[in-house]
Amino acid sequence: MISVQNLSHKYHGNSDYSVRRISFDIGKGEIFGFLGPSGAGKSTVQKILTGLLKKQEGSIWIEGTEIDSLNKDFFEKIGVSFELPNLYEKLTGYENLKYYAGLFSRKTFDPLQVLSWVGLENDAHKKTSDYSKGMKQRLVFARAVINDPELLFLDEPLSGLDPATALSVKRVITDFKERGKTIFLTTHNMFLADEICDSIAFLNEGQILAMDTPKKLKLKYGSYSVNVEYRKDKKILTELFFLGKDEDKKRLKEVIDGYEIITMHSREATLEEIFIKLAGRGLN
Amino acid sequence: MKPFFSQFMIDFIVAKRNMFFIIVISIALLYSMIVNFVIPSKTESYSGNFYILDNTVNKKYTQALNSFGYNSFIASSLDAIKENMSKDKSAVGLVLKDDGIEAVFQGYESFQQQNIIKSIFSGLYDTLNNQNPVAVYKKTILAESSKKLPLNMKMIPVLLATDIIMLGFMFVAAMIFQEKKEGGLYAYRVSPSGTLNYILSKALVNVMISALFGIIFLLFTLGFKTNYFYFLSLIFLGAFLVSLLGILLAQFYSSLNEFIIVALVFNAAMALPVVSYFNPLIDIQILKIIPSYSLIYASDEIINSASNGYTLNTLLNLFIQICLFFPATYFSVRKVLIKKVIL
Repeated sequence: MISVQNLSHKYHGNSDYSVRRISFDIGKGEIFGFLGPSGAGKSTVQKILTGLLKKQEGSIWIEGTEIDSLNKDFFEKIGVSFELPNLYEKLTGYENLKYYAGLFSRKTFDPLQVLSWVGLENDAHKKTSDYSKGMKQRLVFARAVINDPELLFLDEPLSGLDPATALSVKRVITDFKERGKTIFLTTHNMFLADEICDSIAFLNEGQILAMDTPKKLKLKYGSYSVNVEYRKDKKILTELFFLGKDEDKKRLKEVIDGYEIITMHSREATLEEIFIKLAGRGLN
Repeated sequence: MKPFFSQFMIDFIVAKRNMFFIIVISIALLYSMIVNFVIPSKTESYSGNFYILDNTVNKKYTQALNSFGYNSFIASSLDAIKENMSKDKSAVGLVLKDDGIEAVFQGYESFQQQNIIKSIFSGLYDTLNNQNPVAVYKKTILAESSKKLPLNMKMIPVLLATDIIMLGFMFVAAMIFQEKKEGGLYAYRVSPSGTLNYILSKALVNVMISALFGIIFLLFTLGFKTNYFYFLSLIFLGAFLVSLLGILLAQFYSSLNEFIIVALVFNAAMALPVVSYFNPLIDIQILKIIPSYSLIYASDEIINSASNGYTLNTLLNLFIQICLFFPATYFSVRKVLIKKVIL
């Protein structure tokens, strides 16, 4: 579906590349997670893939067509959800969806139906200037799916959403996947990526550090760890020990022998821990 | 057609909720009241009071003035004239003698008004003293239109043209800046609707706003006694052209604050032909290429109903200008506004 080879991009006026020689492939019907902290280059790649930024170096093929040759048929088949809300504030939620849907020649969903997917059916006829940030974010997501796209680009789709709404949006994403749609997900939410992505690429400082399925990444880079809660000088402390590391094993023995253990749990490494291990920094 | 209609509806609703329609309706009604009730039909007459000191032997001027129906008040002395004039700022004083007339002016009367007063009393002096004035006065007018518009009617072309051009220019720019600020343009960019729909929808909403203004303003000032087909054609082409210019220039700026200097210069340039319109002796060739020039003169011709040559020529010129500016606006918007979206 999408093949990216040696993609590089430098913003005007910057001496450093924002994205450096990255390559990846996304199969049809797959959810591909692009993970990394702010400034890693995730949104730059999404903008290039959606035509908002002009490709500078490398090649991008979407359904067998080079991105420079894509015409308006490409835009008929894609849906894009932006990280920051960008709506017509004078229009209601319903009007924003209705008239945006009208820009497409293909069959689109009923705006009220899509609004109900994201829990906005009762606010359909309110002006979006009166929406909260979370409501605007949901409406941007709703707009991205209104044309039933074959290829969906989502930039931080759960950002700023409460758990119940986040669950609804997650359900819509997985429904799209079940219907054979391809999804390019940009996020720094490792739990979301772990839960719904078929494959993941870790991006840091414009470069891909690792790329595989979440399970394989954990097998390859992760190791089991033990989370210990113990009492030291009347204070309760928590420490994480990776069992694959000799120094951590030694330190764990010291803690068990020297202090009062309150709780001790073994667990699988998270994607965030793997990212920290590979990048030397956290995601936030 | 569906993508164009949808984009048109977005722009139409945004314009409506920004009160653009209410603004132009209010301005049209205000202008109509100004034309009908505030601006006089002529300024070449004198309608103020005369304070007169009649020093003639038989007080012959006093009798004659009263019989002609002028608002004249007899004063007992020159000081009394001055005192009355200091209270009545539109009044003129006259000391009438057997051998001539002395006029006392406030100081701000135009030369035209001074000459009118002079001619009234010269004629009166000649009549009362049995002197023969020029027997025959014949005049030949070279201008094509034989009918001269009253001053308040003469304001209609000016108000119509400046509103269409100045407000139209600002409205279309405001629509673009609002879209830039809210980010709607980014979503539009990843939709299949292209540059053409983007430009056409904004231009047509602007044309609708101008047409609404024009119809209300003309109905309340000229009624049904004018050629609406010509007027609406002028408004359509004029507003379309100015929309293209507004889009072309506004796209390079990110906010109305940055754009305000451009808007001021543009509007000042568009107002220049008004000078020539009210004083045809100021015939500067460069004014004729400013779109408001031809709009004003064509509107004047339509109101006069004398001929339609200049109007047809203006419509053709506006069409040619649209044909020239449309590709420039299209390719520029495509390159600057649509393709080069920076988030």
